[in-house]
This record gives sequence, structure tokens and C-alpha cells, in this order.
Amino acid sequence: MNKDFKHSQFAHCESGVISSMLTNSGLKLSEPMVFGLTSTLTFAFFPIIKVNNMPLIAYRSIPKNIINSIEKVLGVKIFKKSFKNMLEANIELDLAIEDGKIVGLQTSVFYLPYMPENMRFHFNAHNLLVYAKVGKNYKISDPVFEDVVECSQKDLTKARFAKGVFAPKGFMYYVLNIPKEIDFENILKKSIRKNAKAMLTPFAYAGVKGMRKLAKSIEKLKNKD
Amino acid sequence: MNNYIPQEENSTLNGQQKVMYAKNNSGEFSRVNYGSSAEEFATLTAVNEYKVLELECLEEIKQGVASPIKYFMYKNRMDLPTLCSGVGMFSFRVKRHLKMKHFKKLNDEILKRYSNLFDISLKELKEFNYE
Repeated sequence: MNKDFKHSQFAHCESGVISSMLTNSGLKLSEPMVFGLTSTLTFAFFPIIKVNNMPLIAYRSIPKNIINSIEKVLGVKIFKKSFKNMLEANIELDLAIEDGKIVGLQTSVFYLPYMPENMRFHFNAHNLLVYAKVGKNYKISDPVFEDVVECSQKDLTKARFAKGVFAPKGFMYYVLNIPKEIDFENILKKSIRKNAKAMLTPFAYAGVKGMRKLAKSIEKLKNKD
Repeated sequence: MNNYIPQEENSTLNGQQKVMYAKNNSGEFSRVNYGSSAEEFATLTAVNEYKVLELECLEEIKQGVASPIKYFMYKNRMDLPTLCSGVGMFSFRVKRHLKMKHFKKLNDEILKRYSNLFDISLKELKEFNYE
């Protein structure tokens, strides 16, 4: 159980979780910094691919990209594990929390009872932090919420093992080791370059060109009605 | 300087507020709470879409065309791929189960898979009351 844990609210879930997790483990990183370091800021607009009858618009890389690349970029060691068995997943989670770890989980928004009713959709890549367990309830720091929330083990398990696109499969992760010295000067230069490349790609449906394309197609909507 | 940040009502968040990043008075980026009626509109549109499908489906069940599974699918805000993955069956099979004439022939074991996913009892699914 982690007693010093401090909750803060973020704009996005995955970047917020990583920022919160690292900050609470001693490496102070803001959410924009996490986004930038991992070069996750991208943009893509695919009018042909439809998701729920809407054209696909992506403003960031696919889920799990931040978790995977923060390891590579900073040399931080992160424990990552997916599960097939629900019971095993719960035992592992309990052990990690008892150990004082702050554990990140991938969940489905639909099964989280503290979510407002109107916000509950089948989105499987919502990340949150568990930092304590009281009785049968977990204390959760959900990065998009103003304050910490609680969730029962039953509901959380359901959310962790939801099926569908990006199925979480009980995915959990926590920080193992943070290197003492990080050469931010070089890392930042590299990250900025990589991010700029992604934004200035010649591919017409991504990056800045993708934004222009989206803007144009929004303008066209006016004439459609 | 923060006067361009929307501070409108957003009923879908149950009183919570989300944050966005904006420049503060000293020109640094900081987190600011906001409420956006455009976001509210978008969320409610998505929610209502499922409600409309739900009501349409009730009508179809009355006529004996659609099965209760279809109703619960929309009630749980699922689409066909999500439902298929949830029960672990191929879509051509699930599509048949959405029709009343196939639904009637289903055995308890298959129905149990659906009722577990929808978090209802087997009886609720079998003796679905569309009133």
C-alpha cells in the first residue's frame, strides 16, 4: 500500500498515468513532457476507414505506445504483464499493491461503475492507477477524474478482462527501476526530431497535411445539408 | 488570459470537470479546468443513437423479427464486433442469433454466454418482456 501517493488530474489517461506513476516514483515528468518524449503526438485522418460510421481521426499513436516507448527513451524499467486467468491477475495485482507499488491497469470504460452513465462506452484502452486496497475495494487514481475513486474487485476485474478491439487482457504495469542519471539534452533533441518528422510526413493523410485535409472536409459539410 | 477556455455546462460528466492545457498569466503552460457544451453535444448524440436503436429494436421484437439479444446488445452500447468478441463466436453465428426464429431454437448453454455478457439472468433473456 502506497501512502505517499498524490493524485493529480490530467487531460489524457495513458500519458497521465505514466506522468503520475513516474512523478510518484521520484522522476518528475509532466504530462506534455511524457507525450513529447515518447513522440506520441501524431495526427491521422482516414476518411475511408469508418469507426461507428464516422471517419477515423487519430490524434495520438495507438494505445500502449507511451508505456512501451518511455522504457526505450528514458531507460526506465517497467514491469509489464498480461493475463489469461482472472484469478492470477487479481493475486498479482494484490501482491504488487501490498508491496507499495503504484500499479497501472488497462481497462474498459464501460465496466467502471464510477464513470458517469453517459460516458460509458466500450473503449478498451482506458488506463488508471491502483495505489491501495481497502477490504474488497481498490483505491483508484483515475487520471481524468478530479479526485481519487473507489472500485470493487468484481467490477475492476470485469473491466480488466473486457473483450473487443484493444482487449486489455488484464494488462498491468508498474515501475521497477529509474536510472539515476538521464541525459535529457540528447533525449529531448532526438524526441523533438522524431515528433517533427511524424508531423511533417509527406503522406497526405497524416501529420499537418492530415489536419488540413480534415479541415477541408469539415468545411465541405456545410454545403451538404 | 484564460478567457478563451470554454466554461460551459457539461451535464454528461456528473459535475466533474476535465482539464486542458493553456497558457497562464506568466506565459507557462498549466492545467485548467474547462466545460464544453460541444463535447456534451457529441456525447449525447452518441448516447441517443443507441437509445434510438434500442427503441427500434423493441418494435422489431414485437413483430417477431428481432431477438432480445439484439435489444440487450444496443442496451449495453455494443456493436456487432464487440458482441461477437464478448461471447467468443463468429459474426455469422451471432447475426443469426439476432433473429427471433433462430433465437427460439437456441439451447441454454449458448444463451448463458449471452446472459453472462449482458449481466442478466438466463430467465430475463428467455422470457424477455418488451412492454
